[in-house]
Amino acid sequence: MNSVDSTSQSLSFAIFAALVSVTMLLCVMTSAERDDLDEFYTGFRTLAPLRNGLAIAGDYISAATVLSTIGIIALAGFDGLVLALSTALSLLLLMVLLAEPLRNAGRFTMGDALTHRGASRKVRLAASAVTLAALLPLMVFQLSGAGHLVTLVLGFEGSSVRTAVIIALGLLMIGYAAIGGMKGTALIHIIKLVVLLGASLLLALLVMDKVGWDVSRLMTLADARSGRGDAYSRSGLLIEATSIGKVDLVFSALTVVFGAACLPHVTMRMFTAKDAPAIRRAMSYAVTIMAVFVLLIAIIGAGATALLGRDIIEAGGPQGSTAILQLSQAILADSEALSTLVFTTVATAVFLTLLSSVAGMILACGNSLAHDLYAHVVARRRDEPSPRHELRLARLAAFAVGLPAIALAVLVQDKGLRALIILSFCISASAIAPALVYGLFWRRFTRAGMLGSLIGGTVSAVVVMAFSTTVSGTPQSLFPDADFDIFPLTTSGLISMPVGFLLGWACTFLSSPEAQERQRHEYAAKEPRLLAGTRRG
Amino acid sequence: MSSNTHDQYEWFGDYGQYPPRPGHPPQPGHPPRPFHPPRPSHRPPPASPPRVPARDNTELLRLRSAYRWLRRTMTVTVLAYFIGYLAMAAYLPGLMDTPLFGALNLGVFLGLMLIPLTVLAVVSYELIARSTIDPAAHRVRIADAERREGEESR
Repeated sequence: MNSVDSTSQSLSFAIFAALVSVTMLLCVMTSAERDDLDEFYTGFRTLAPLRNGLAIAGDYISAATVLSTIGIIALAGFDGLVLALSTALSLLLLMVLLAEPLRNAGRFTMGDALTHRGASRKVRLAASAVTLAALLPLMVFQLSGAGHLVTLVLGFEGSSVRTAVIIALGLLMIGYAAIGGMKGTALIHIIKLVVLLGASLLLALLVMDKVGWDVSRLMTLADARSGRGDAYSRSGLLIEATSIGKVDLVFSALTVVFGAACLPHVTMRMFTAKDAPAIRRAMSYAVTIMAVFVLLIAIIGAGATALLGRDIIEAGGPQGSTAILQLSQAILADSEALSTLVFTTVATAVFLTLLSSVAGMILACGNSLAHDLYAHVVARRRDEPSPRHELRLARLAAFAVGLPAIALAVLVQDKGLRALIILSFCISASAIAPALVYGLFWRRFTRAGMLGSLIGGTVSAVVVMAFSTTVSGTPQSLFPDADFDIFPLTTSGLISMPVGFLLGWACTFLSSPEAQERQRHEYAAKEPRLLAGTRRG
Repeated sequence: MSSNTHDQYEWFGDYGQYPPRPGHPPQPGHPPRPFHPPRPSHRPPPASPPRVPARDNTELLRLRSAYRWLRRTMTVTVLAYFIGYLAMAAYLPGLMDTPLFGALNLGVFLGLMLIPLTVLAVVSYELIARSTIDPAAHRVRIADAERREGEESR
């Protein structure tokens, strides 16, 4: 993108620095007491529905969603809109299908929710592994994106500076997760969501003002300057409309619908509500906010193409990921002061989004390592570790997850990384979604079925993605020069989602009838808690 | 998904006879009534021995079918609309390209319509859940608490 002028740079720098100090201070102030696990993991389940809803939406709208979805809408038009709509529907589906039983079944982590019928070390282990596998790619994508964005906004150059920025930001995000726990990150998510919504609303209003509040004119301009003409408002720019491509488009959208909201850092927020009506109300707020947000990013994405043109957006970065910043810089170009103001507001919102969404994911992974892996798998010979011990471990685990993520982000920072987002969604849709749906609703679902879904879904998602056109074979791929694309698909969902669901079903039927009957009894014993939230025991 | 044979209970059979929710503003002219769902022990004893052994089990069955109906209806509606939309986008590009308002075509219009529909789905879910699920869940919890009390005093 065009270089950022120096006023904007110094203003942005001052604001970023202030934000970092203020949010860190808030985190320390809301930090959990020494040995209270409930407070660190769930904030005592005391978050009021509105605040909880804001935190869920904040956690859900990751930087990956904001940057890459706006970029895709700007470059691929209609297909981008479909993907943005899928993310909103995903949250709606989470609300109507899973949220309430999940709130009643789970306690702290994904492993708790999946073993709600009875303890199982293998399921805990698999849950922990799948949590990491699903969130690590997203964290790496966002960390390397954060490096690009901050160096761009602040006008630093060179890859060594970028490496330093990634490391510094990464440590900061680990700090939020380790110090603040669930309550601290919730606070940061709320702040981030308010700032992000405000900035997006401002930008969308400015776009509509530019086109004279005429949607038809916005579409005409976007069509004309997209370099693709009418095809911009028709399906086929993101995924070619061949016979395979059409199926691929449908299943890419469905993968987002099933995957996006099942990611562990989102489901983890279900456990922070007081009871089922409270999580229902919180989800009402979150889904409504998400629906409005999709409208805003659709306007911003189309507006970026309409006002800037395709060439400028493509020059700004891979897959148009800086389109929102370019638009904010250009939209009021005739007045320098206003232009600086708009640009700084949007840059601040994106910066906060990056910080908070990675912190939320580090927290989800760290909690899973400490609670699922250590407290229930490693430490089983001794009795459960003392809460104080586990809490210290949860904080250390944030580092254990964050540091490798930083290292990976530094290593891959120059690649086009959209493959990583897709991989996360595919693992979530193919492994976590079947495990949760079967685990919460199917009486006879056995542990073998659970492991089949979790492991089979993850493995098939990774394998199919590795041999897809997202990774190799086309100019937009992760490795454009290599050519090992066996499956002509951009998303593995078409194959791996059915594999995950079918393996769960098949492994259950292959288990002994006694095992199925045992699960039925365990489910019956837990059902009052699952449906009505009666006391445990 | 799950199969069972003994939950053909009409979950809406006693719809409408619950007292108002807690937090509901009292009607003008009426004294505020505290929220007490009918306790199971206040019902007349059954004439014949019940088919299901425990009373709280009946409440649970009612809650289960209320939840299941709501969950399935909402999920199927949401997915059916969206899959239909996706299929039209992929396989009927000509239809979706029909201009509606100037340059705004049917595909983009139907997509944008999803946004108010999502809000509508949220509101209807919230309203239905509040009137059918919450009272049933409340009674299951009361039955459960009574059972526990009974076990403790024994």
